[in-house]
Amino acid sequence: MMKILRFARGYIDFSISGSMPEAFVNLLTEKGVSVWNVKSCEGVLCCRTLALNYKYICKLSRRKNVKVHIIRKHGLPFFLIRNKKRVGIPIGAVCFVLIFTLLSRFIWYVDIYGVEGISYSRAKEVMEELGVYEGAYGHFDSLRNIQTKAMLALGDVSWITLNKDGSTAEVKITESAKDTTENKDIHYNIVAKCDGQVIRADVQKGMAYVNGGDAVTKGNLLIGGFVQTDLGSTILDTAQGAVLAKTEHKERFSVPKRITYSKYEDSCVTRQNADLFGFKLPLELKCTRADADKISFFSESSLDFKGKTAPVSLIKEHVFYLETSSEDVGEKLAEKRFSAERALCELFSYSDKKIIDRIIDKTVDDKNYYYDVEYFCEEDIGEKEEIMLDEDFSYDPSLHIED
Amino acid sequence: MNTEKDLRDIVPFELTNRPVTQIQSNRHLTVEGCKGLAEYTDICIRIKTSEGVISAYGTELIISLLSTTAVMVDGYINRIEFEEWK
Repeated sequence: MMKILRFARGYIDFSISGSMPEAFVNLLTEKGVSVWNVKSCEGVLCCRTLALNYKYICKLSRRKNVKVHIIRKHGLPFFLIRNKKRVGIPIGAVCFVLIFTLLSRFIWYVDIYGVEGISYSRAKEVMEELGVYEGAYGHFDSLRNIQTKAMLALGDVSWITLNKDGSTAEVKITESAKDTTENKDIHYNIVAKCDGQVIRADVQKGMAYVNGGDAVTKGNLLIGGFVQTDLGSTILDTAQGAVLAKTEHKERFSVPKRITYSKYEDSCVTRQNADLFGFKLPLELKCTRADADKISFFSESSLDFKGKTAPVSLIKEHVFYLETSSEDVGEKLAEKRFSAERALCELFSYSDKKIIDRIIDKTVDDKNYYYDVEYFCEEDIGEKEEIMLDEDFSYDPSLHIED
Repeated sequence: MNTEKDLRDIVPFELTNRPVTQIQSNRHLTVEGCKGLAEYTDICIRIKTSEGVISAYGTELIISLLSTTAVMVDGYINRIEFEEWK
């Protein structure tokens, strides 16, 4: 700080020669003139002092019969005097201060953290819609308003904190804790989610309404939450258990007889762009064919400084030309494509079922091959359904049997 | 328990009115309560105090700060002498 102040006010190196230079230095300190960096070189003393003290020092030196001589001048006043003919320097300095002040009023980095259940891109998108994005003017009219709107837009959020720290907007999202506790006032039956023939019912809680060999349709009651006690009254409980049944499902797969597809050409055009404060500037002028089908991939490398991303990045664009081809699909290729599609379907849609058997029926028309597959499975067909109660239903909690 | 002498050892010049000398390694010497310079060359600095003269001998000696009551000397100090001490 002291160095900055001295630089701003200007200081000089001067030498003191004569019979008693030490006495003159003592005199200067007595008179309140601050001197520092006192050196002795070849019989003379060299000191530093503020520029404005020098006239007074000269006056004292004449009285004390010592000679003072300026060796070097330092600091801003001397720099300005030396460069007073260079108009560009002050103009540049003023422009720098203006641009610096102007740019510091904008948001150049949005730091969103605390998101776990909500996707980061969704949170960023919502904040952008509300005016919190890189390049936005940093004066937010109502932080509270933005917070409330963001909370409504994002949904499962208990609180959002928005703070502006310089050119950084910090968005802390606190997601609401999910209520995992079961509501004890709601009770459930277990009903059939599809048609099937019951193999067996494993009841953990409630009363079974079906036995092995019974045929059930979608929505039939399998395990009831109503339990009849020995005393003849009815109590409510949540049904728990699994009902294993034989089920049938049908799927249709189609493979076109002629397929059209696009593939990349070997060559690609790579272009570089700079992103400066939200403005995209092309660094290379490579043109692409306007008539050709093409697809672009972007890779961005940003400038990070102390964990914060600067609003300057280099974007590489790779443009690939697409070559469109058509091909006739023969029986063998159609079979292969069908097998691949069937495997995917079974992996995602039949993972909770045990496939016992499947019957495949193949038909052909002018355009497609069709494969109708009938699956025979074993699966748990039970699903929970809330018990809707009438208002006059009497429920005696004392009769509720706890496990 | 602190004796009067122990307390005097740690109190600054303003309270004792006696010169306080501090040496850090052989690179830095501070004298509080000085009365000015008696002699200054690049191998010797003699500092006047109320109780005598403190002489520091060495090489590349620089007075980095000089005020009415304190002197700070930087450089390679080889020897310190207390002359004409009361």
